[in-house]
Amino acid sequence: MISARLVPIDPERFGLHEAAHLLRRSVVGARPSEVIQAQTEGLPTTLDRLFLRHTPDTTTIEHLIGGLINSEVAPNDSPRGINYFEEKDGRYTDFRQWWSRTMIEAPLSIQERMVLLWHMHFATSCNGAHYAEHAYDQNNMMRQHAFGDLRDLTHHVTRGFAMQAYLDGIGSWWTEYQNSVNENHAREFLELHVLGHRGRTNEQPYTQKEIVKLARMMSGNHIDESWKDNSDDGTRSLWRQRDCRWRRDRWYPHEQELYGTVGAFTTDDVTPLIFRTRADDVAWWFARRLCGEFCAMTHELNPDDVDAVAALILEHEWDLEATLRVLLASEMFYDSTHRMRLVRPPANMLLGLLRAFRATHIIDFTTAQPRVGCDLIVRLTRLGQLLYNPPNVAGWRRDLDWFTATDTVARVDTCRRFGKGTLTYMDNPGDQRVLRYDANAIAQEYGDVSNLEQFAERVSIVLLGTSARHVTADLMMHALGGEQRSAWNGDMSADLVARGVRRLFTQALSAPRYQLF
Amino acid sequence: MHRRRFMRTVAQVGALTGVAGSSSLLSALPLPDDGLGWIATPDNKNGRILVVVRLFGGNDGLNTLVPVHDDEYYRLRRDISLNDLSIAADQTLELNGVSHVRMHPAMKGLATLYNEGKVAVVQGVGYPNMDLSHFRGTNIWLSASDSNVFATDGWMGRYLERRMEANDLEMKHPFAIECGPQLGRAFAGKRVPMGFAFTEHSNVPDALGPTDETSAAHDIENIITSFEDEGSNHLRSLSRTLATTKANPASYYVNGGNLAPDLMTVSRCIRGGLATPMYIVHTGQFDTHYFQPLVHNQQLDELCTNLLAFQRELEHAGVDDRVTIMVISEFGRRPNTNNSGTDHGTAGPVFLIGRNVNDGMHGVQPTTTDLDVNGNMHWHVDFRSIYASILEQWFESEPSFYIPSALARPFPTLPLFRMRPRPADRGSYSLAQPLLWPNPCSSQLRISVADTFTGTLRVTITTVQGVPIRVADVPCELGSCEIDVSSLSQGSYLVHMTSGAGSAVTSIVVAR
Repeated sequence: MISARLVPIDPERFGLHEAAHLLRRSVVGARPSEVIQAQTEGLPTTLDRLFLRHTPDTTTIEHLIGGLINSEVAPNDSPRGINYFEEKDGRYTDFRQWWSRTMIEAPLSIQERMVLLWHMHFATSCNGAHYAEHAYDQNNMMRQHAFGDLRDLTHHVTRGFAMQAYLDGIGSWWTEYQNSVNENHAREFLELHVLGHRGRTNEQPYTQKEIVKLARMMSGNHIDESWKDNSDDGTRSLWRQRDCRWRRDRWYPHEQELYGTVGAFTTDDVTPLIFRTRADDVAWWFARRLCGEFCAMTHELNPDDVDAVAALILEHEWDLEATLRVLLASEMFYDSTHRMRLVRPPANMLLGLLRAFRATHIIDFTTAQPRVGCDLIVRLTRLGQLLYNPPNVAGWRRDLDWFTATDTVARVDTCRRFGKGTLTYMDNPGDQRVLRYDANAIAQEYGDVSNLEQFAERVSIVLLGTSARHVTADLMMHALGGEQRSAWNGDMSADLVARGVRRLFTQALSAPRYQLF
Repeated sequence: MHRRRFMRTVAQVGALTGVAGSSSLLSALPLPDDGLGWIATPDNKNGRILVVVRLFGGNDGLNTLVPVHDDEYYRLRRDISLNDLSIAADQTLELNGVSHVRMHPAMKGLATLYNEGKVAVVQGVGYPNMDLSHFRGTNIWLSASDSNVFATDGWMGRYLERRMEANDLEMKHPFAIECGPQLGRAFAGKRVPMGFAFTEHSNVPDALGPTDETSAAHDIENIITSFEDEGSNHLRSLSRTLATTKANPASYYVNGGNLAPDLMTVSRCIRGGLATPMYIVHTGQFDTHYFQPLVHNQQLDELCTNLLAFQRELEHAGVDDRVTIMVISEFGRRPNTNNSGTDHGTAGPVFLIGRNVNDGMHGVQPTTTDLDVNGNMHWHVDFRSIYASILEQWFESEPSFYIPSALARPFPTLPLFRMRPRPADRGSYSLAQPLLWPNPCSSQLRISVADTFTGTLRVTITTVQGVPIRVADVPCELGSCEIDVSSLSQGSYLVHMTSGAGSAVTSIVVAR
């Protein structure tokens, strides 16, 4: 039986506030026109739009896709080790720029939001995966399974090279004479990916014995690569397969009992086994994550809500789209006490800002030398969320932990300067390369700009999630810039109005609420 | 928003959350501009500062302090090919009074300081069950936790938090500054982050946009507003300090990475009078799996040249007596080689630099002839003993004050600092303005008056209402004496001091 909290809201209630709330939380940077359209079309149609898939343009990273991974600068070959790191970083920069661009240019869809969510849940790092090709493979796989079957997603993440490399699964070999395997991947799989460090009963939901057994199951994976001598300079070239190879002779071949099932299991058995035998615990852990991403800060979650979503996941047999369609239409999701109480992670905030305002002068995307001067990458680093470089295996910070004095100043400053049109390339003072947006064009997306009250209110609702009169009045005051209200449609020239619109946007982007969603 | 009100807001949000150890709710809190007048310990008189330089990657201790008479070292490290990782004895730098080790030839800057009596070297530093992961190793060093404890805060952050809470401090300058864009583990307190990350790219933002007092999210808006206020205040303090402090003689430094500019910034902050007692600078690529001779040489050269430049700047400015530099790394490296480099290992040295350090060699150089089953050297000094020594001898805090906040339990200390105040410290207190420390205290209260004073000091301890509790005639030698307050209950007291030369009254707090 479905929980009362998951009952869909009355369609009549789906106004501008609700449309803005839905798109703020389900899209990386909803555009005003998309919000207005969602309000007009209603919830069911908007949900259909959200779950449309799209295929990103991969023109800029063709060299990272398909085939063997090749490098002419292998890590072991002196004296070109530094070149190895430069080459590796360059590929990651290409990849990060591509994904950033994909998020910014994506059509209305929950897809990239979900890929970002899964990247943060199944965090992997450039420090382990070695080559950006592996990260791309994982990212692309997450896109394919972003709102598909949770079991498939988890299985492919666990099996994939990026995670295997990051958590030392590769090279975890078992032999009779050395009866031990690396437990890293097994431990993090249970603690971070599928069960959590504290389960439903607030107790550790796994034991060290289970970790050891799981680690044995996951043994035998290794890197399949070959080296070719470059006879001229004593260096070698590397060719690497994109997937791990499993070697029976490095695998623990003996039968084990785990969760009431006996067998000689392999890595391929891990996800099906845990999803089958620990279904309630796994569903609870993923429900907690989904609720924490879409409904309320993790520490403010109502346990009954999490249980309800866990039951929903099981009811829909791990189908994420079916689960999310119910969740995003539910009373739980639109609960007014939790609105604007989630903290936007920096990637969501910055890339969402650029998408929502259709930023037009993103130097990273227009330069002929994409590896040189990566403003977005530097900016994401400063804001604390360089993609594919989490601070630890548990991933990035969550919720209020995103705020420190340093981070808050950087976040607000970035948004405000973007609003003013003074966010210069690499923060070089006086730089002419500025992230630009067309304030008038964006304003037109909100409707009739000549109606200042309505325009300010809509901006307030879409960007800040409030229609409080004093907030709207504050935005109007900044738009008028000291002029009388009557001047907006009268004495103020088009140029002055355009400046007023920019001031209004700047004021909205400077609000603390813009850091929330 | 006033800090106390903000703390209440945070506490309320925390109470809603029920999340213990959710650390990052607020950052360094404002304190007054008048130096370290914010805490009644010797710090408020001499403004002592600790600058931590963290070498990322695991520095190779064996090639830093080279055991030139150790045949086994040369057997393990020597290679006739291009991958000879040993350092020939005739290339190394001699250290005054030291025969068993010499410094790497690229460490001229540090060797110079050592021979001037400004470097204390702690050899063979490690901890039980050393974790050789960079991530875990770094966290353990910065949190001072055991290897099986996953702490989310830092020992310095917890210590500063303890000082803040014990004294209900307000602060305009950051409690601690981390050079870089992000605040890491080092200055994370148990409840609040105590540091402020700073780069030259930081901008002081304009005023915030509107808030909505009527919404459910207003408490979070308040938190953001407070962080914004604090961050802006810190940036203004820093900008003002940097703008009014003479630019560095950059030619002393060598550029190559972030170390030189970061140390220049720290130097300007200190010379400019910023009331910040702790700094951390991260540097290096000491993870020398490959090309160690080349990379290690370059890294040590950059490190030691810049440390010398930094120390010289402080000396020229006359503030070197207030500053100690500590150089740490998350682990050492394995004695045996791995082609052109070395793998992660265990014991390594820690350097303390400054005018007040008890210079010379401390601890025991790890031996290459007695390795563990993994081929690693045995450590002899727990790194937390160094931290404890710093807290007690440099910051003059009692164990009862910093345990269990900064360090979970007691660790034996090493004599890493000269205990007697240096001449530059003297004269900052007198019988008219005596220095009573530590304050708050728990057992022994030390009283320092004019250092020329020798005689008997009548000490009368009263309640704050003036009711006498204890009277004692205490002999003073060279201006200092101690009295036992361990029998006093916790609370506030007045200490009246009288001698033929005059009298004074100071308040103290007894806390345990």
